[in-house]
Amino acid sequence: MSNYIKIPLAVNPARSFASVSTTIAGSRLSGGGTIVAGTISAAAATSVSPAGGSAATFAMTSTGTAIANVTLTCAAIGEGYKVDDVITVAIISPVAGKASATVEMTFTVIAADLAASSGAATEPFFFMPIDNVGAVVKDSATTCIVELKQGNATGTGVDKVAKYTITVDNLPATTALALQADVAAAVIKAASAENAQPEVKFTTSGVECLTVVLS
Amino acid sequence: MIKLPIYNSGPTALQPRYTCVNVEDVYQVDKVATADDVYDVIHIHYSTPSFDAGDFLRASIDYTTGTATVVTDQDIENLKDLIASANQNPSSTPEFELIGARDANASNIVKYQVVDIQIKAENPAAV
Repeated sequence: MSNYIKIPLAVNPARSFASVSTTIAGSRLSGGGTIVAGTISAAAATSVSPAGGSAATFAMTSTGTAIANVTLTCAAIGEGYKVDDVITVAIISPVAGKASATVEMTFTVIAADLAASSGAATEPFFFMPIDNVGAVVKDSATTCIVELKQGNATGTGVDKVAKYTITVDNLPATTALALQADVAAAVIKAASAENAQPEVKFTTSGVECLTVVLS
Repeated sequence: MIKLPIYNSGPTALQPRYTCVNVEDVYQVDKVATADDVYDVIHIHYSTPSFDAGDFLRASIDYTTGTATVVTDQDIENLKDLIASANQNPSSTPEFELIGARDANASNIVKYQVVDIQIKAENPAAV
């Protein structure tokens, strides 16, 4: 029998696009008007419905004159987007040799477009056994490391043990120390009260856990 | 499990929040100098094997990143006693506090609070 802590996994949390290499295929786009084939355009601003996300921008390339020939590439990952948001990319004005579109383009966000998130309606918590936890370690403002008393790499020194990496969204911002203390508080509580299975409470309001990965 | 105060983690330096470290299977505790006899690190050695034959695990608890001696021989003895006590009371998670913290004030207590903690692999024969 093990002691556990429960880490709440946000269901479709507001988050950034996955990276600046995220692409949107033409098959997912609508609108665009007259498409001009060409190399990558300047980044265009976006708007989103429903409101929430902001600051993502996309650049356009096109191999032909049909909307299906267009590929949008994320230029700024923004923040606050959710699956099923509808993104509208502003008109991309013509520049010699560059792709352009005379009308706004729209697409619907899917999970693969956004930063990874493990939460689902059927997966509201990550259950972490704490019996072999070695220490709760400070890492960054978006990640906390729970190192285990279990070697998993050859050699001596740091990073030779198995660990859980807990990743939270970057907005609202928390701190590495707050994350460490939040997770440690649950581990301490679980260690003090067998079978209590306490939930990690993030002290910074609005912080949402995206993923917990064992490595 | 024991808990350790984390620097700059609470609403004030005198109200720290905590991290924790496992103290099962500990066979040795010692103080370590970061450099030039500045003793600000505690090593907790486990009998838990690491990945390679002959290697074992160790927790390193860092206090001042080399700026002041804060760990004394008495601190090590106190920690050993606390580890023994924690293992006699499995559901307890007592706090370990350096002796210097008892006389510290808001301006200097952070010296006695944990800056970093990590689990590492070591070869005791080579230490």
